[in-house]
Amino acid sequence: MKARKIERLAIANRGEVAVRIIRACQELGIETILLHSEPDVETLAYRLADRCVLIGPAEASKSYLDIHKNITAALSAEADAIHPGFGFLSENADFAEACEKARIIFVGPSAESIRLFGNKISAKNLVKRVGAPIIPGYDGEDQSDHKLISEIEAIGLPVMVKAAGGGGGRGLRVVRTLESAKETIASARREAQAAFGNDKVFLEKYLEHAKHIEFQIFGDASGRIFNLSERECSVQRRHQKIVEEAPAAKLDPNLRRRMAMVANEIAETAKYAGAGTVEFLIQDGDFYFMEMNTRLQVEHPVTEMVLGIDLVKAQILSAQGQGLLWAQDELVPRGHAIECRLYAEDPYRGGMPSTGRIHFLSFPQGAGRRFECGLEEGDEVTSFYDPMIAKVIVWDESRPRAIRKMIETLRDTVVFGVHTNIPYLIKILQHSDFVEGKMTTQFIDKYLKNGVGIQEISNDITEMAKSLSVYLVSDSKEAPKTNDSPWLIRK
Amino acid sequence: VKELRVTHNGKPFKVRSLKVGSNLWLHVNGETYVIDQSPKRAKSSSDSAARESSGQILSPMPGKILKVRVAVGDAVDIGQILVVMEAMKMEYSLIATVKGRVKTLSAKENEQVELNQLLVELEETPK
Repeated sequence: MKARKIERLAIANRGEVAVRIIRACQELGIETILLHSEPDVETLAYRLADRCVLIGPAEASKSYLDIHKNITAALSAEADAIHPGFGFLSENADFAEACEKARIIFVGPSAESIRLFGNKISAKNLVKRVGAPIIPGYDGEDQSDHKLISEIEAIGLPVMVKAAGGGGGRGLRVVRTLESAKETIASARREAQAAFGNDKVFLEKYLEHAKHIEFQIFGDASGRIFNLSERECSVQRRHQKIVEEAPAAKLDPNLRRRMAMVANEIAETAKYAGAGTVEFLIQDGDFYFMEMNTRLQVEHPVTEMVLGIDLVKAQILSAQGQGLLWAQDELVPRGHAIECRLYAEDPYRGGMPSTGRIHFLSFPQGAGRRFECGLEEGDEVTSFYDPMIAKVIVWDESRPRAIRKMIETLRDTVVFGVHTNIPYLIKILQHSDFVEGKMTTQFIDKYLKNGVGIQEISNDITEMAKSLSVYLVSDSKEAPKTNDSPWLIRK
Repeated sequence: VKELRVTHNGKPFKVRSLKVGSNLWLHVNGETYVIDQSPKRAKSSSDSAARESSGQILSPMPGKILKVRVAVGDAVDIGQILVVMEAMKMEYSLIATVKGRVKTLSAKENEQVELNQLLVELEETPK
């Protein structure tokens, strides 16, 4: 690739990752163009970008997933590069190719790499060549119910049905009985179609007590592969990560070394460029290659925090052919970082999405605390997209301190207008399996499947609410004495 | 938002509060509470619970109806899936809360629905 300085970068994404990319561009002196859908005019990224181009309605398939609209809009704004963020078109080889045709730099790996790892067969063949173990499964073209069900029988229950186009936990279902297989496949197909515009699925043996460990790798402009060590993302709900950390909570050093080597070999064999993540499952001392994600990950901040690097800037610099300041032997994790995904949902009603306007939003800033947020006070959490409000990331010198810091940070984070999963996150962080680093991908199903139960409202709170409501509508400057009857305060 | 320090029964509380419509949002000692202060109506949660026990299945969130699994007149059992809906790219199944028969059905596949919209009405089989 010929080196070319990026002047104007278009962002084919939304929310907090769009903000993350805009900030990186600002620091690099690059103009930003946000390619956005109709409802997303009420977001922080829309306010921060230098220019905004409307690409379509709320429905992702008609805006954020539409290759033609994104390319046309980027060209109309004279962008010379596109950053796809994560999700949407970030792992779409056709999009990367369309960018190339339009002479726009795609900030990410080559279309060839995306295709290689996006196709589960070619990815697994490559991994087999490297000599790494893979999880037994089926990824054939025959998508008939009959074929899938017979493959499920052959693999042995439980079996996971995954969206072929996917990632991010959507279109993922576990088949536990043969009787329910047909229904489960249909459900996974529908979700895959809605999320990725492709209802193809594949099957994989479901490991019942595995840890999710992934390695961040990065190929710079000169073709050198950096290993940016691992993250643990075992805490997952409906196969979506909610709490991530770096380094792993507990990992045998030998296993860690072997996995890191495999990750490097995979990237080197593929001549990989840019940010990528090799995902593994570990069970009973063995590790299995799961998949390689050819994009920035949602949880990339924890790696940035323990290594003191900026992955988004590294992506952009590499895309314009520039070298990085990194040296592999200096990339040693220091301390511990944790990320929690803050969702707009009602923890007391089983995590039901909670849409609406955010009337108040306050993050308790402090040393080693980072908040990645795409919304501001007054903005709305809509039902069109992922209900994530923010990512809360903390760093401290040790894992116990980082856990403690995260709990304090979450307790002091205030969101009014929509419910949040903060009580749920705190419950996870306080659970003994999590504290001891023993959590597996079944952690949530095992202990916290039904959320946090009913919220108990003490008499103190009820009485305070009564008095406060009178105070809030009155003009009094003084705080009420809550042990007084509210009827006495009223003027 | 009002930030207050309140002493109640000798205990200090740091309180942040905001009134949004009839809801009072409170953040007290690290926890958020929403208190429905609408004058006469029962609390919305107990309200919907009451309607559920009467056999009315309401949409628990704004979203899209993916599948309608029953027709008017069908006999249903507790726990049977009536309607599958999607919101925020995730699926939710609405199940029968009583044993009985489908009396009315207003849910239609591929239709957008609002929060608390009536989707299915069940007639409970007398015990």
